[in-house]
Amino acid sequence: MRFSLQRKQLCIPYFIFLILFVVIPILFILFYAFTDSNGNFSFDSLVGFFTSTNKINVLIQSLLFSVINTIVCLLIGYPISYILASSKAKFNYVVVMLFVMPMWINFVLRTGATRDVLTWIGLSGGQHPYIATFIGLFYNYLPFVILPLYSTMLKLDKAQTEAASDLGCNRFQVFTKSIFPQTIPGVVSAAQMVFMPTMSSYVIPETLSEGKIILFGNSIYLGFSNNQWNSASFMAIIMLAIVCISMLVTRNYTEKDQEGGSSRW
Amino acid sequence: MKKSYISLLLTPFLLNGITSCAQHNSIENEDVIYVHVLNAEDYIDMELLDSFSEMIYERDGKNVSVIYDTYDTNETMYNSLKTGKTTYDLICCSEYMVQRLANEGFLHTLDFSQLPNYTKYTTKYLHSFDDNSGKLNLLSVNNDLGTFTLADYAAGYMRGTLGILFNPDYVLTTNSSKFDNDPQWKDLTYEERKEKIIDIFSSEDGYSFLWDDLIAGTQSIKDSMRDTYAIGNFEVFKDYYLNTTDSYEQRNEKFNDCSDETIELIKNKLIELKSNIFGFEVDSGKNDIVTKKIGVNVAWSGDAVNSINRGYYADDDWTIVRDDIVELYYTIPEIGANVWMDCFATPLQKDENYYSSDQYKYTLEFLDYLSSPENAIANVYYNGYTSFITSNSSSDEIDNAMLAYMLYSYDYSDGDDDEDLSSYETYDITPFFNIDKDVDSFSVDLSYVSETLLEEEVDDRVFTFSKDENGEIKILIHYDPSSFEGRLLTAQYPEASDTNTLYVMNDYGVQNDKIVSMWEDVKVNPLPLWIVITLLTFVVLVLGYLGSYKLIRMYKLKRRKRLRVVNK
Repeated sequence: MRFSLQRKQLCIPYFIFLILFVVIPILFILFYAFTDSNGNFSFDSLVGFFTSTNKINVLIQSLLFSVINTIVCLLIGYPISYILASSKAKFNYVVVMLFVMPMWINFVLRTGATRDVLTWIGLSGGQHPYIATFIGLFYNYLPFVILPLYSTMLKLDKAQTEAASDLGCNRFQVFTKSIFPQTIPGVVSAAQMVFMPTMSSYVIPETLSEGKIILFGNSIYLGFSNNQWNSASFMAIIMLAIVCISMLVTRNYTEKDQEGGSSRW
Repeated sequence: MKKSYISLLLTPFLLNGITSCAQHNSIENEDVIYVHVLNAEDYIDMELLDSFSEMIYERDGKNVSVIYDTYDTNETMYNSLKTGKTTYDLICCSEYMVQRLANEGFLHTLDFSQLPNYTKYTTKYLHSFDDNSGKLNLLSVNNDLGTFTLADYAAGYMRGTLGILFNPDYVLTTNSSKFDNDPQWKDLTYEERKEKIIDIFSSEDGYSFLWDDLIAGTQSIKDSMRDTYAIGNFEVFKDYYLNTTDSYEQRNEKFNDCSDETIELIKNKLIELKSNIFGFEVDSGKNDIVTKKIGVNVAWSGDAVNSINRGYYADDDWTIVRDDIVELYYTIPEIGANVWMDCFATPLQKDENYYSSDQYKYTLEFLDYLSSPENAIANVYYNGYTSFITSNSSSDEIDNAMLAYMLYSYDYSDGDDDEDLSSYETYDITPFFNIDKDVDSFSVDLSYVSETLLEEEVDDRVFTFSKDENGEIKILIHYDPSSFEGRLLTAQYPEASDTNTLYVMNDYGVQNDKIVSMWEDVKVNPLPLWIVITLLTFVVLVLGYLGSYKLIRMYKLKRRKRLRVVNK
């Protein structure tokens, strides 16, 4: 029998990877979330989660952290990407690289260094846990905002903006009616890149707030480290559910995004 | 042993938190006997694994290879033992985890008759074979086979206390305005204040001072449920510990109290403490206190030794003294402290032939090999903790090796003959060395630990052995408590007078989940009321907007329809 490599077969390694590291773990999480410590089917974790003020509290706090982090990162990142994308200078690429470069350094080392810098400028997590954590979050997630926005804005249709101003829009209207709508796919993918990882971030709040701020990721870890696999797995399911919801909500925009082919993500 | 758990989160799968570094014997042979050992990271001198194999090969002509795996936290180890496929011949973990495993029937009792070194050299104060006075004997084990104590299941490896590591200079300079305004402190000079801080931490108010506004923002506590719970216990039951006439066993029971009311009381105390501290840590504190990010740290004695050393020396070999010495003190408050013990235990094997196999024989032999004084010293030298293995009362140089090592690290050799010794105090370390009642004189030969000291003998200025008319034996060390050596000594060895208040912490058993949720209550910040109100109004507004938008639309549609009808 002659073996011929078909295009389909090239996907096999990916599918094996997918099954081993995505599907099976999710099944495990589901199994643990809906069983008790003896392995019998139960809703204990579900009831436990929704009756625990602490866990709901952490969930709301993490959502708030994520929303604030997403908004602030977008507010900072949007103008930067716009300027970088619209100016014709040759060093643009270098500036983008400078923003992205910290991402090449190991995440934990970077956070440790951030902690030292914050202590040095007098904003240590011991005295200002919230400020320190937010600074750490902004700093770490800004590149995730700038990259997709930058790539969207490179493809901005200049003719449209010019037409808008020719037809009597002032600068603000040009922005709201022409530029912003064109960049919505970039904004949405940037928001997605920031929102969920913030909720589940562990090292940043742990290190920068000196353990004083607990986000959803820390809470899940607390469960696993104290042998409460079932309730922690259920919290992981909640997280998955939130991911799915946010994907559904932003689905319409991301489809456009794919048609445009503008996103690298 | 108490290690970082940040690294755990970075490993994508919990079970991979265990790393393997097999020490394969170079000789390829089918008859290699593998001994699987599981221990905490950075806890053993790896050269001992090879030297053990060599020793066995030379003696018995058999190839024994120690497969040495490590874990980062007790909980990881517990999970991997319960779910993992690898079976281990020997594990090393904290006393409460050995207790939990033994209670669940995971462990096999140790046959101490096969551990001659361990039974001879282990500290009797911690592990007693004659009576039940040892600390390990206090931890009870109940399983299908009957009632035991941990002394039947565990062989101690390292031990230490949970105390307070502090830098008085940092506290005084950082919070100087607070000290200047406090009526009790403002008239004191800097040196007097420093003295007073050292006194307070070692007094019965040691833990209470953590709650004090004077040192607010300079102290960090353990981000570890069990350790911080213990601190809370001392604070909640302070009056009890100070006034009680109860026996040690009763007090130890109080220390392990985890009834619902106690949990509630401790929770409130810890929430109060949280607002006063710099932060929680398990791993960064020992560095932060040296780099002057914090001034007070609730610390394990092993970490404290490490920090004191790094505050004094500039290099990793501990030879060059720093220009800016960070003067760190470690103390355990008079009210009491937790003593922790990391122990070896043997997991139960299903195969009955196992217990007559060479594998089991060499497992115990390996454990005993680690318990010989010279290897214990190698491990202590490697990890900086204090070993279970100690000295025995004879003048045999091996028997006295641990005491010699201790005096040597206490830097006896620096003793200048003309030095003024008036400031020296005595420090009683008797309980940590095994001395028979009938021994009359006792000298220490330093030649074992240092070849350069071959000619020298320890003189009375450093160390005295005394026996009073009642036959009571005392080993006293003469030291300067504020010197570097003195500070190290107090971190490694609690004083004899403190040993009556060193308590052992049990596994929480069925109350564990309640304490976990208490810990969550402590760690999670309640949402401020204004945020809740803002959120609620926001949700109401959004829903209201969406609702009214729909209503208006419906109304418009209806009107249009009506108009159409009318027009027709």
